[in-house]
Amino acid sequence: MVYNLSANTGSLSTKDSKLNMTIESTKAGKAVVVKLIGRMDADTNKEFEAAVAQLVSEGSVYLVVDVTELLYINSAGLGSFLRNAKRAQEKGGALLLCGLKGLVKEVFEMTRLISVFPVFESTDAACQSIA
Amino acid sequence: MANNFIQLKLPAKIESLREFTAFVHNAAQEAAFPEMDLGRLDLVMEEVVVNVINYAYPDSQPGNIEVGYAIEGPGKLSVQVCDSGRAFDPLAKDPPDLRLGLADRPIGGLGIFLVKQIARSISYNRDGDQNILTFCLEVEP
Repeated sequence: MVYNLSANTGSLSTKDSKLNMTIESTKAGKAVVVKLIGRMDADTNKEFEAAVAQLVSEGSVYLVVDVTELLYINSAGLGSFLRNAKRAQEKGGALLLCGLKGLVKEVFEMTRLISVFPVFESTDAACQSIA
Repeated sequence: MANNFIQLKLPAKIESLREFTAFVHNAAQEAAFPEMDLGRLDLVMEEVVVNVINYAYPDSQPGNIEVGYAIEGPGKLSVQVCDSGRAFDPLAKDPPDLRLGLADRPIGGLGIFLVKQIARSISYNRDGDQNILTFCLEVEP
């Protein structure tokens, strides 16, 4: 696992070709936008949890999770969303979702998690809601 | 395992998961499954196989999983997942309470629920010392 911290954008990304998911986080005012790219499965969900745990421990408790480019999620991934949201809520923050589409949207709808998280069309709309 | 099923037998370890999923995924491609349905199939396979890996065999007695498939026609695939572990019917579990809010929602318990939602049909049989889970996925017209 390689963590890259970009000096220019302040974004933290994790990349591993075997794990098939990239996580990019970028400060956006009061919130941090966490962009998930690829597939969240039994391996990669742990990276998502670790990234959010780090952000929350650093005081970033408003997390806008952009799933526009997340192509796949399983129940372990859903569990990670719940853990991360509970973690943020316990610290007085929240986990907001944006960019739901395709299979990922279907899975959130089937499990009715779509009504558990605040859902927005775009990261801008999500960020504005907590400004 | 039904005779007409093309089969793959591997150890019941997490390292086998990708091979099992790819094995059935390739068959679904052959059966002309569109991308969205391939994703649904990957999800069902992952949930079912991980369930067997986690619960079928005690750590002291590792065993195998046998996955088989039969292409029933364009957009229609039957899959069997067999193990020789302890008798366990994953379908007997109570459904999760989907009305709960964030604070009360338990972590977990959604895997087999998703499988039941996606599969066109699904059944469990205990045959001798084998658990046999059979499901069918069919592309919506």
